[in-house]
Amino acid sequence: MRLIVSNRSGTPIYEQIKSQIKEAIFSGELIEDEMLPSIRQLARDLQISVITTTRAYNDLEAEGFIYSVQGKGNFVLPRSKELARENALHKIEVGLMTTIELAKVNDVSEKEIIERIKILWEEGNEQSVTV
Amino acid sequence: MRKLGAFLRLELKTIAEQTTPLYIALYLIALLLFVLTTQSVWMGVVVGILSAVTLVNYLFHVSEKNNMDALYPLLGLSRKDVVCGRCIFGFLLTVVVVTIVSFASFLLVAALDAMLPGLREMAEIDFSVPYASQLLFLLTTVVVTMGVLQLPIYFKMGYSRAKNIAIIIPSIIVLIFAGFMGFVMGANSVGDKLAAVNAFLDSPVFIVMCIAVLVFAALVSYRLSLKFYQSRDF
Amino acid sequence: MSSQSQSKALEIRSLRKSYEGFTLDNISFDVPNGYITGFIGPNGAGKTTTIKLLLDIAMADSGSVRVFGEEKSIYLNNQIGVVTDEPPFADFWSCDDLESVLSAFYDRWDKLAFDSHLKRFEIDRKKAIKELSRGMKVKLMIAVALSHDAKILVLDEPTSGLDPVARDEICTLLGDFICDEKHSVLFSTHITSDLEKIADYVVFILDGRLIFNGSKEELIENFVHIKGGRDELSVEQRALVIGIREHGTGFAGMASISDIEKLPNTAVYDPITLDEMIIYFNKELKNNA
Repeated sequence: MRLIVSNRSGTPIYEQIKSQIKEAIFSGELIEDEMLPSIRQLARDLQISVITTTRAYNDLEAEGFIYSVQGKGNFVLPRSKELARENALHKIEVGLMTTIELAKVNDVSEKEIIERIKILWEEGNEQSVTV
Repeated sequence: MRKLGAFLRLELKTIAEQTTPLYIALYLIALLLFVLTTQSVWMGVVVGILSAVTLVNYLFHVSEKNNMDALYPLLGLSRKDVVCGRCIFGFLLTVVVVTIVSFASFLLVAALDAMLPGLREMAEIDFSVPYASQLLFLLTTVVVTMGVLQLPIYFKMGYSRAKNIAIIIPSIIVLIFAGFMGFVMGANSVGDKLAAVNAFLDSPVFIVMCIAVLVFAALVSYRLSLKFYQSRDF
Repeated sequence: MSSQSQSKALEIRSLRKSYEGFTLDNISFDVPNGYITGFIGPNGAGKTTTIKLLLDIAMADSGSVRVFGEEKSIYLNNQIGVVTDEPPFADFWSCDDLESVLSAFYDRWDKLAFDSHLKRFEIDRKKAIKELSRGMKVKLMIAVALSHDAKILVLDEPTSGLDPVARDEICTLLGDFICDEKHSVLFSTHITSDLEKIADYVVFILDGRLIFNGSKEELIENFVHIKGGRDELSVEQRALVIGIREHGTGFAGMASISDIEKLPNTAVYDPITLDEMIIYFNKELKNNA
């Protein structure tokens, strides 16, 4: 698993850790029951405070992504389809918002956008068929 | 006192640069020559005591230079432990030096006897010259008392500031004593008053008095040292 | 009382000390067990004094210290490993000499550990301490501190004068030290970039007084860096900016998160670093003097 944190991004570090772990879970890179690095080990490796990693893991546990076993460590919970879908929907919305704003600024109508979506969706299907 | 042995070893290691086998050997040779020339073992002992006092001063010097007063608390030694330990160290050091000097002098005399019989009479190295021994005893008392009284000054002010002051008090005492000795020595032939002084010197009261002064000085020195060192910050 | 069950390695209460020209006033904070507590403040703020008081190297006028819940006596100092910038050892001693002295005092002296630390730091056992470079002297003190089973490590400005590589090594070492959650670190420094990374808690003192005591995140999240144009602030708003610095083309300062709503939203708000915080707090003190 690849975990990189940046001091310079606007997001708090514990948020960065959380979203990267969630991504890894959604993409299947982290599988069910896989063990995560310990809170202290992670803090050492990333050279950040133990409190930060503790907070990230606590949040992830509260949100249902991981579970902890006393004395053993933290593990990945089975991927919930609904959560994955929700996550994807959220991303789609963000992308759509960007598209819509761009359209409005450049006088592209709603109808044109929907047309484009239909065309690109078909092309996407054809590509996956030929592959 | 906890860890006394460990502390004594620490003190010894602190003056290690001045107590290398070479220095000790050279010092002993010089001292023995001194005994030879003054023809008095006791004078050698007095010089030995002065050397022990100097070594203790040197101990203060090295430990201050290296900020070891900050080390002692880290090792779990309280202020009282340090004062107590250093006083015991000084005492033991003096005892050891005196023992070595006496023993070495004995050996010197025995060796001279064995190698050059008859030389001893010539040299007249003696262990008790009747009249002068009381004065030597007084001298010893003065030297030891002076050494003991220096301690609180060093504990209070640290080596660099103490050494200037600490030289004044002993110098005054020694000057007074030298004057007294000169006066007494040269006054052998002068009148009754001095006979009383001589009589006093011969009496056991004199010895008791010297010891009392010594003990009193030691107690005062210890109490003052404790008080001064207790309130210092390093 | 086992050290595992104690959540506080050190509890410092109301330490007070007056020197001529400087007073350390009513300093109280905890060093939580299992974490790294950074002790920050500009030079002369009283960090070294506080550490000396807690180790009984200097005598406090009043106050108390507890070590794992126990009232501190001088004998508890052997549970604490100390690193300062100048080793208080006779400079003509070699590491061998040093070990023979220390092992007599520390009941739990670990010969093997000391040896392996010396090897790792590449310190020559036979060399006199005065011949070691500054960085090596600090590493020697660290080696000693790690070799008598100390549960708490107290470091006073160990990294000033060290190059970034050495500083990074020390930070890594400290991270390892607290890994088993039974050891704690109090790390005093005016080089805050070291703590930005590894500190869990922060104690911030200025001019002999405690300014902040809490988790590093809490500290950093509670303040922002605010910058704006010269005339952007009203009089009331200006008073809310801590350590305000005004110049030809604008102003810069620090503000508490809770005050942001009262401040102009035309100003620029950025996250703030520990270094900048110290500077602004210090400036605020000077401005008010």
